[in-house]
Amino acid sequence: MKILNLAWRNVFRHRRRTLITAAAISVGLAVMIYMDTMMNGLDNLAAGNIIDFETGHLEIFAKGYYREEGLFPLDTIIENPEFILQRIAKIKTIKGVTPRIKFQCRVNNGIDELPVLGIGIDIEKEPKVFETANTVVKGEYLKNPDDILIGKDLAKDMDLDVGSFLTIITRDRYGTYEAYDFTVSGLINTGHPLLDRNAVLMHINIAQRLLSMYGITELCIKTRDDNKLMQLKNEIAGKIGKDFEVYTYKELNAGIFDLSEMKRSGQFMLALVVVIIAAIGIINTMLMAVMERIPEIGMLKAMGFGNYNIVKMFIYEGGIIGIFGSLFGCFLGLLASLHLVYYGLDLSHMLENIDIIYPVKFIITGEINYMTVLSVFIFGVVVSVIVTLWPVRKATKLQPVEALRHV
Amino acid sequence: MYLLKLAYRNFFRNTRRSIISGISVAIAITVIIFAQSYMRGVIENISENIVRLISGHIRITTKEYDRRERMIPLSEALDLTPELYDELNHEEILIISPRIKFGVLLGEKELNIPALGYAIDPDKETNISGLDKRIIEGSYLDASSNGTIIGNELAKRLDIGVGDTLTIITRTAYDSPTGINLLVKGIFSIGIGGMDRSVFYIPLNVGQQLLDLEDRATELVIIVKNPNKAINIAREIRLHGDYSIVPFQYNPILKYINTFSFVYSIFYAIILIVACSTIANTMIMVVYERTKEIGMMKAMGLNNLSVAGLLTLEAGIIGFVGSFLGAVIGGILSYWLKYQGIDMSMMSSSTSADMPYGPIIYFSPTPMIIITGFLFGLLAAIIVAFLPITRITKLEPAKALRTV
Repeated sequence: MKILNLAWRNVFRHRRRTLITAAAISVGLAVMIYMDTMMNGLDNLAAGNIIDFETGHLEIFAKGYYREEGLFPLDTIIENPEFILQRIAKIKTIKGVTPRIKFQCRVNNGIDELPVLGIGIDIEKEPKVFETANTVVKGEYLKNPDDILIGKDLAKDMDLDVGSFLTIITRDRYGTYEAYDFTVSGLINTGHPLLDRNAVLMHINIAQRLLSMYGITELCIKTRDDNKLMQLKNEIAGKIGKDFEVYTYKELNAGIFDLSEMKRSGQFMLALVVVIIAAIGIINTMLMAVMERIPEIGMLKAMGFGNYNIVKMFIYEGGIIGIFGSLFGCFLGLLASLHLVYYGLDLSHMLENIDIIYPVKFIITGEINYMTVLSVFIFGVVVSVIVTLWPVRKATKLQPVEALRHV
Repeated sequence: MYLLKLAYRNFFRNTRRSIISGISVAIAITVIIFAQSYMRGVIENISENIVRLISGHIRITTKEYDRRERMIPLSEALDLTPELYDELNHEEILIISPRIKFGVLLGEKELNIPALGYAIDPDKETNISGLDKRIIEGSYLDASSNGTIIGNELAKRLDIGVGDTLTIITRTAYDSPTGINLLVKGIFSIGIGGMDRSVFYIPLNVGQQLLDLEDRATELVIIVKNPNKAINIAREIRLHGDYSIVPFQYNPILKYINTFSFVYSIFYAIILIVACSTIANTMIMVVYERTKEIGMMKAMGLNNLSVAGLLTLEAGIIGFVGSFLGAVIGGILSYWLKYQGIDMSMMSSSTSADMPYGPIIYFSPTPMIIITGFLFGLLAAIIVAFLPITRITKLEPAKALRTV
C-alpha cells in the first residue's frame, strides 16, 4: 500500500508528461474501439439481413444440394418436407419453419430482361421465420396466384410499379424453358440488396408449377436462442437422418464472414501500430523517470528497499499511467462509437449501383461490444505495465552507493 | 552554426531518450509511407483492371444503353459505321475495339447459372485485356471459328472443360429466341472472383450473328496513348448522335476508393500525433532539466530567439533522424513490395465483377510519398517542440538560475 502511495505521487511529479503519455495510449485504444464498433455494426447488419430475409438461422437441404454459394440446382430437392417437419416438430428451441424454393430466372418487363433469383414462399408460414411481410412499402403482400413481390430497387431499374405485368422466364427441373406472367402486387424494401435488387417473391405452388416439380429446395428455420445454433444444428441433423443436410447461416455465407474477418484483422493491425507507438512513449517516460531518480533509488535501496519493491513501484507507476490512459481511451472510443450507433455513417450515395458483395446497403450503424471495450482496456493497462519492465531493469542493477553519488 | 553544434551535442546527452523519441517517429513514418504506397497500389490495380476488363480508357455507348446498362439492352447497340470511325480519328487514340456484352443463363438441365458473355475482337483485345496471357488450359480465341473461352470457376460450376460444348440460349436484339453450340477452346483465370465465376468470351462476328447485331456492338472500348489525358480526349471527341463517352476516371468504384483514401489521411494524422507526443515529452524534460543552463545562457546574452532556436534544432534533429530512418525503412519495404507484390487472391476471389480488385497488389511508392512522409515527420517534430519552448522564453535568467 505504501508503495502504491509512493507510485501515485511519483506519477504526478510531472503532470504534463504523464498527461501526454496517457493521452497517446488513449488515442490508440479509442481507435481500436471505434473500428470494432464499426465492424460489429457491419457484421450485425449483414447477419441480420441474411437471417431475416435470406436463409433464417438454419437451412435444411436434400443431401448434395448445397455445393457453393450462389448455385441453385434443381436436381436434388426435398421431395417430402412433411417427413422432416414431423421429425423436428418437437424441438422446443425452433421458433418457426418455412419452406422455400429458390431458383435462377430472368424477369422480363416487355423491353428488358434481367437475371434474378426467384423465391417461392409459403405465405402462411413465411412470417414465422422471415420479416418480408413487414417490409411491403407499396401495394400489398401476395394474394392472387399470379401475384409477385419485387424489391423497390428492381422496380425502379425496370420501370415497374404495383399493378405492372412482368414475365418470369426460367428452365424447369428438366431443362425445358418456361415462362409465366405475373402482376406486381407489392414492392418490398428490406435493406438486403439481394431482396431489393435481385430477387422476386411468388407463391410456392406457382414456383412448383413453373419448375415442374413437387417438393421444395429448402426448409428455413428460425430459432429462439441463436447462441446455441450449433447445438440445434446437431440436434436436427440427428433427427432428420442422412438424406438431408443442415447448414447455419454462417456456413452458407462463409465468404462474406471470412471477408469481414480479414478486414477486421487489417484494421486491428493499423490500430495496433498506434498502440505500439504509444507504448514507446511509455518506455520513454519510464526511462526518464528512472534516470532522473537514480539518487533517489539509491537512497531507497540504502534504506532497505529491495529490488522487488523498486520494480513494484515503477510497475505501479506504469500501471497508473496505463489505467488513466486506458480509461480515457475507452471513454473517447465509446463517445465516438455512440455517434456511430445513433447517427450512423451514410455511404450509400457513394456506392449507388455498385455490387459490393456485402449484404447491406451502406448506412453503417455501429454496435458496441462491451467485452471488446473491456479487453481493450485490459490490453492498454497490460501493455503499459509490460513495457515498463525494460526501463526498470536498469534501476534494479544500481548499486546504492554509486547511485547516491550520481548527479 | 554554433547553435546547431550545441543542439547536436545536446542530442547525445541522453542518447537513449533521443533515440526512443526518434524511433516512435520512425515507426510512424514507416507505416505512413507503407500505407500510402499500398493505397496507391490498390488504386492503380483497380484502375488497371477496369481499363483492361471493363471499360478501356474511354468507353462509348449510346446514351440510352448507358442509362439502362443494368439490363444490358441489346436493342440500344450502336452502329459501327465508317462515319463513326472517321469521327473517332484522333491522334491520341491507339485502339478502338467493339464489344457486345450480353447476359445468359447457362447450364445443363437442373442448373441455371447467370453468366455474362462478351463478344470481342480477339486480336485487338490481346492489347487491351491481355486475355491471351491468362489462359490456363487450351488456347485463346481465334476470330474464324465458333469457339469460346470461359472463366475457370464458371467452368467448374458447369462441369465442362476444354473440348466440351457450351450451349448458349438467349434472345437476339429483336427479342426472338436464339442459340448456338460453342466449342470450349480455352479456360482463363483472371484471379478476380466475379470475372472467373461468371464471364465467357466469344469472337465478335459469332456474337453479332447470334444476337442479330450485324455491324453493330453494344460498346466501343478505346485505348489512348496517355491514360492521364483520357478525360480531355473524351471531351474532345465529337460524335453525331446521342452517345455517352465516359473516361475510366469517372468509374464510380474509383471515385469511391478515392474518397476512402481521404479517410486514411485522418488515420495518418493520428499516428503522427501519437508519435510526436513522445518528442513533446522529451522536449518537456529537456526544458525541465536544463532550466538552470538556459538561465545561464540567457544571462550570458543569448536572446530568446536563439534559445528557442537551440531547442527547436534539438527537436528537429530527433525528428530528422526519426523521419529519415522511417523514410528509408518505409521506402525500402514499399519498393520491395512494388516488385514482389502481395498476393490478394484470397480476398479477390470473393470480390464482385464491379470491384475488380487483385489478384496481386503491387505497392506503388513514389519519391513524392517518401519525401512528403519525411517532411511531415520533421515538421511535426518541430511543431511539437514549440509546446515547451514558449514557456522557456518567458523565463527570467535570475530565477532560472536559482531553480534546483
